[in-house]
Amino acid sequence: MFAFTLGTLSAIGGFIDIGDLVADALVGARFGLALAWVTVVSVIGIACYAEMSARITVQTRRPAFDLIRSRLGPGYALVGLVGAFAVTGLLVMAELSGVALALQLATSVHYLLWVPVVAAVVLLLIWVLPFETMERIYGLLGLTMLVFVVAVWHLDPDWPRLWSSATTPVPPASESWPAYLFFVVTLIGAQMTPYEMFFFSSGAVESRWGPKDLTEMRVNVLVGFPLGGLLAIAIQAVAFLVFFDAGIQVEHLAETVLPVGLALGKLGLAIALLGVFAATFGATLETLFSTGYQIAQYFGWSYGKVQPPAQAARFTTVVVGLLLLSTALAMTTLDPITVTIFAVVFSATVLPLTFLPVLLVGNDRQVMGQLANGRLSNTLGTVTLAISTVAALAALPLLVLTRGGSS
Amino acid sequence: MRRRVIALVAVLLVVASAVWYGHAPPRSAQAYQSRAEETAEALRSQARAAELWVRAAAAGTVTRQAATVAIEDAESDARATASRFDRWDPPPELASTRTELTSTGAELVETLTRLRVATHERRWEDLPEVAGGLGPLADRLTGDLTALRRGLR
Repeated sequence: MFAFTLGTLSAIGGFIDIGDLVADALVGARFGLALAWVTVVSVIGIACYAEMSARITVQTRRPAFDLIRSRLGPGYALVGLVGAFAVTGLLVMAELSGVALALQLATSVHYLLWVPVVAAVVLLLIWVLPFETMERIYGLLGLTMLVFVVAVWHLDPDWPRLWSSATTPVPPASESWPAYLFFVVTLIGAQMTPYEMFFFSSGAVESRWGPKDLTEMRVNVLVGFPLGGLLAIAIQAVAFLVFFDAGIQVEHLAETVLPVGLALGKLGLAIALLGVFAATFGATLETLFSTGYQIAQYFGWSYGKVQPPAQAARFTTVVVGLLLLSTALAMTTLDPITVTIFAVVFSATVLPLTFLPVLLVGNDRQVMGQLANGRLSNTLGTVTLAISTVAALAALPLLVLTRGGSS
Repeated sequence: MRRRVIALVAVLLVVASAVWYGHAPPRSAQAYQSRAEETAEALRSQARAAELWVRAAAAGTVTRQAATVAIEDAESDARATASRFDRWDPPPELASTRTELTSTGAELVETLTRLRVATHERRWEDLPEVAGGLGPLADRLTGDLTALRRGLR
C-alpha cells in the first residue's frame, strides 16, 4: 500500500498538477478531444523514463541528476540544472497559487490572502511531517480527482462525437494549425515534466529501493501514470462537453471545476475542489523537493526528506529559500494561470536535456548489467526523446507566433 | 569572448523582437480585424461563462462562493479585454468595428459589474434577472464575429 502511494503521488501530483489542470481544460474547451493523443504519447513517454530512471537508481543507488553530472560532465549538468531550476521554480509559484485558488473557490476569500497561509502550512509540514505521511495523505486525497471521470458519464455525452473528436487529430474549423501545434507542445510540457523523474528517482534512493522492489516500482509506473493520463483526458472531455459548443475559453481554475458542478452538483464540486487542492499541494511539495534534490545532487551535498532537516541543512535551506521566493513571486499579483502556461512551455524546452543522459545510462551495460534497457525501453525512449526534441525546438517560435496560443 | 558577446546580443535581440511582436499594437487593417475577432471571441466567452455560472448558482448545482469568484473573474477579464481593444487605434475603414465592439464591451462590463454587486450584496434571487442581458450580448458578439470573419465590417 505504501509503495503504491509513491506511484499515486507521482501520478497525481506530477501528472495532474496546476499545469495539467489548466492546460487540459483549456485544450478541451477549444479543441475537444483532438489533442487526447498527446496525453497518450505523454503517458507512454513519462512512464518509460520514470521506469528507466528508477531502474538506474535500483542498480546504481544513485539518482538521475547525480548520474547526469558524472556521465556528461559538470558543464552539461549545469545547463540542465539552470534550465530545470528556472522551470521548476516557476512551477512552485504556480502550484502554490493553485492551492490558494482552490481555497479561494471554496471560500471566496481572495487567493492572494491564502498564498502566505499556504506557504506557512507547507513550511510547517516539510518541517514536522515524515515524508511517507505526506505521500499517503496527498496521494490518497488526490484520488478524489476521479470525480472528473464520473462527471463525464453524468454529463450524458454523445459518445460517437467524443470518439470522433478523439480520433480526428486536426484542429477544429475555428482554430489554426499554429495554435493546435502550440497546444501540442503545451500538453507535452505539462504532462512530461522533468521534476517528475527527479522526484521519482530521488524518492527511490530515499526509500532504499533494491532489485526486489523492481516489481513494485513497475506497478507504480504502470498504474500511476496511466491513471494520471485518464484523469487528464477526463478533464479535457468535460471541458469539451460543457464549453466547446458555447465558445467558452477556459481562463481560470473555476472553469476547470465548473463541469463537475454541473454534472454532480455541490457535492461533486466540493470533491473536485478537494482533488485540485490535494493535487496542487502534492505538486508543491514535489516541485520543492525536486529542486532541492537537483541542486544538492549537483553540488554533492547530503539531501533527503527522510533525514531530519538539520542533518541536510543545505538541502533544507534550498527548499525553504525557494518556497519563500515563490511566495514573494506569487504575491506580486502575476497571473498564476499565465505563469503556468509559460512554465509548461519552457518545461518542454528543457525536456531533451533531461531525457538524453537517462537514455544513455540506461543503455550502458557496464553500469546497468542485466538491468540495461531492453528493445522496448530503447524504442520507446528514443521515440520519446525525438518527440521531446521537436517539441523543444518548436516551443518558443510557436509561443511567439501564436502570442501564447491566443491566435 | 567576442563570440559570446555576439551570441548574447543576438539572443537579446531575438527576445526583444519576440516581446515586441507579442505586445505591438495592430498596424494594418488585417491585423486590426484579427485582433477584433479575438476580442469578440473573448468577450463572448466571458459573457457565456458568467451566464453559465449564474444558471448553475440559481439551480443550486454550484456553491455561492465559487459562483462569486467566477463572476468577479468574468468581470475583470471582460474589463481588461475591452480596455485593451479600446486602446488600439483603428484604421479608418474599420472605425465602425471599433465603435460597435467597444460599445458591446462596455455594456458587457456594466452587466457583469451589476452581477458582481448583486453577489456581494447576497441578492442571489436577483441574479437571473440581472444576468438576463448576457445572452443577447453574447448573441450580438456572435453576429459581430460572423461579420468580421466574412469581412463585412
